[in-house]
Amino acid sequence: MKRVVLFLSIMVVGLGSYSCKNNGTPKDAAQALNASVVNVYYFHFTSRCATCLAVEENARRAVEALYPDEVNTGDYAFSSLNLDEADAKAIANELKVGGQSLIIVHGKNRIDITSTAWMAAHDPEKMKEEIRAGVDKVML
Amino acid sequence: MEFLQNILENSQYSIVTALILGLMTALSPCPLATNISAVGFISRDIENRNRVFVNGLIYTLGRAVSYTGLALIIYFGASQMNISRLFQGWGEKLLAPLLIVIGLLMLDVLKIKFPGFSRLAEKIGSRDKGSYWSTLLLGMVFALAFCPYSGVLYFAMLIPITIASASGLYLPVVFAIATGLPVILFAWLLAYSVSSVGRVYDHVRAFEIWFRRVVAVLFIGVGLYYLIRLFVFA
Repeated sequence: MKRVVLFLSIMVVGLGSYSCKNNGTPKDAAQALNASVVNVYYFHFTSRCATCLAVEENARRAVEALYPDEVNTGDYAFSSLNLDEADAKAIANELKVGGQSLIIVHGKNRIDITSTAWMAAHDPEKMKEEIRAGVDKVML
Repeated sequence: MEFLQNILENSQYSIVTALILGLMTALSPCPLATNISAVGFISRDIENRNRVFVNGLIYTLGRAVSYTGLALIIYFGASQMNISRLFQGWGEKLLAPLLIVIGLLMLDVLKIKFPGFSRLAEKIGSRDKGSYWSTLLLGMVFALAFCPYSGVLYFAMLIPITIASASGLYLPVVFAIATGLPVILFAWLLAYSVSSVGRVYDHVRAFEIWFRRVVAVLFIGVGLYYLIRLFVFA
């Protein structure tokens, strides 16, 4: 009985961590290939700092708050991609991304807002401004 | 940190930007563990305050060598994407085993017998007081161990203004001085206060031996901290 409980516990923890690690990745990869979508990409490595996590959280919220309808229809998307994973590396190579970054892409237009987004990491309103300004530029 | 960020956002001069980015790197919680190790390492000749200060300058020079070297490589055409991904992806991962090995060498627990290695190990173990090479090397290595936060400050913020023109190539040196400043200051303060205590008891030499052991344990502890950070909390 103990063995069964142990086995089930390992399965639950294992599946939990698997689903946690892969949360959103297949969808992200598919969306990345769609050039008509306005993509806001947040690239990171497995090891992350508090500011890095805040950038992701506030950038994701900013996209969802600024463009709720477009996010629902799939015209705008926020993707968080781990550069330690092969799928993300392929997209990063295509976008010429060298490390942690926040990039907005629409078709052939691309803007890197990493430095300004890092300064706005803990300021949701400022992050919204940066995302909005970046999206406006790639839509021109 | 918010104060530094305000200056950074309103700065018109790239030299001020480089200085603030360096200070933000040194003071952020992310590289704090390596900075504490560095303070311990450069204060190991604790009986001599001047020597601690010179060690601090050499450590900062080591950082400047790495930061400027990387900037030059990118300036002269190497792919910024590849360099950035290599160092941001691997810097922190290699740091943990390196710190543990240095700590074990300093404690004499690890003895590796390769031609030329024993001399290097001796220098790291700081028996040879005439050598500043180990301090220079430590500065170079610690600078290259980019953690997630400092990686962005260097590659996404400093490098673009550095490689924009040849006149910007001095900026990594300013950045390095700023990253080394708090380390030098703390090491010197530590040496100043601890050496006075040591003199009171007239056991400076014995104290120094124990202080070096503490530094060695500190290296191992910080190495373990990075290992745990990478493999448990990642």
